[in-house]
Amino acid sequence: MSRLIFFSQPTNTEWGLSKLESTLRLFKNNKKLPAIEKLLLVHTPSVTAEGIEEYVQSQKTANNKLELEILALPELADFVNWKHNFGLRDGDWIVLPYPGILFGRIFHEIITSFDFREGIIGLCHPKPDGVTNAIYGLTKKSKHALAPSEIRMKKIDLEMEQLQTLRLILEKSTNGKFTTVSFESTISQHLGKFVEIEKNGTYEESKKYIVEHLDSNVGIGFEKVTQSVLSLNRNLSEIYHSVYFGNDNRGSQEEDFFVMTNSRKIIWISCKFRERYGLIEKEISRLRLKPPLNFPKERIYSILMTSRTHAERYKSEDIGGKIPGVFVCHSGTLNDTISNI
Amino acid sequence: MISQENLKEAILGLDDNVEFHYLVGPGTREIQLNCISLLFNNSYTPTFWFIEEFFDKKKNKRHLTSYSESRIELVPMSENKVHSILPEGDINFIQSKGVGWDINFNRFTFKIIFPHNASLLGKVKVRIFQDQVIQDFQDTKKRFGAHGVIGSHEPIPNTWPIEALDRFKNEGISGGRGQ
Repeated sequence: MSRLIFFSQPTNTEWGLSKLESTLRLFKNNKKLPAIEKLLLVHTPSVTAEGIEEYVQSQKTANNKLELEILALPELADFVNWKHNFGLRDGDWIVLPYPGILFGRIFHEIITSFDFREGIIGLCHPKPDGVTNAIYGLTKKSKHALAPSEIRMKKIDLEMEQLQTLRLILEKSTNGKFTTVSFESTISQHLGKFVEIEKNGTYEESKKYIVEHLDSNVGIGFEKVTQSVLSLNRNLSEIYHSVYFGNDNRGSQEEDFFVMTNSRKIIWISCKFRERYGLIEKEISRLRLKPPLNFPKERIYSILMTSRTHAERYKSEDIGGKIPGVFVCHSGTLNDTISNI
Repeated sequence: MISQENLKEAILGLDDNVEFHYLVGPGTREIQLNCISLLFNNSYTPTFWFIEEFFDKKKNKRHLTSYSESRIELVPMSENKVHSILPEGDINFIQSKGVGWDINFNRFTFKIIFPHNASLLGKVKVRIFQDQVIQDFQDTKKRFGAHGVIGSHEPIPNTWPIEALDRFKNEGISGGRGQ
């Protein structure tokens, strides 16, 4: 019987759930992989009962025909222990844990204790890019009867189903305090006019237009423009506005926009339509911060949406002063910038 | 020292009798898997080792331990010794951000010190201050490894909003609240 072994983690749960569900779906749907009959969920007391339930639900969603076994251990590293009956077996597939003590122990046991000359042991590494699952098949062979055995590792990269939604990620970090933005096919006449003015006009002309036609508060008017431009972007799968971070309702920190691209990257967009360039520089520097989201940091980017004047000034600056992963753009370049991330 | 890209070439040029010892971590899963599969596929079976730590309030003992029960006690490294082996860029970073070294825990320390007028700061100023120090902490972890840095702060002034403490906690920076 082939088992999939998954080590539940107490933190970064959304990514853990996504890894489990997408790996189970991969085994269910990909003919290159063996049929899995059982899921062995291993956890320590630091994973809460609710956390375990979430992993169980994930398994049911991905493949409810699987047999499920849950194993609680004081330490995850105890898992690979041949004196007990739950150790590694021929045909096991392991979703690899963090490269710590357990990670090394798995390899040690594969080398020293485990005889799988007739079969294969598999390792799965759902990569932080959210797209690829690196699957390693390990075999053990000897050149002749008395020779020491040698291990071979063969790798294939398989594409995972995209399961993580920005809504799910934000709900955990913000207690659901955000506004969903719908996609549109056109933008209103006034908003379109503002975009036109921004192409060739001055900062003052743009500001005047916002105050007279969009909102008496320039900042809010500029956010309306940003929302409208984003709503046209078909490279995005989700758009959220006014996102409040914090553990409860005690007056949390609001950020302007969070969007998810079709290639499963999260972009944090801050709007600043201010005249003083010093304030823009401060905001660019602030956007280096990685927001408190349970999501691979490699796939989180930031954009400062500002006036054309400031965006062009930033663009003309020496590249050495620019911050990797932080982009600065205006209403005319916002959607192109997102497409290029 | 060789880069990961040149590892294959380096392994191919070795004698069959060479023994490999593999220390698990630091590094991403991907880096580790690439190295391990390269060794296996070239008929080398490494001995795996890890760093074993015994935490104690007064002293932290560290061993280089193999899965075959071999154990070598590690000598604590002084701050000067650590600085002597770091590249200049890291030293400049350490000096500019006030990053320290804990000899007992063998990790870098990032201690947040508040300005003398911290208790008078308003909500916006608190947020700006936190943005800056959290950014520095994230930069420090990026440079020295997520598990190689211990973050802490002085007790936050009781005039600060409670979510300021939540924010530090969420970033993994420990410390309490003043009375």
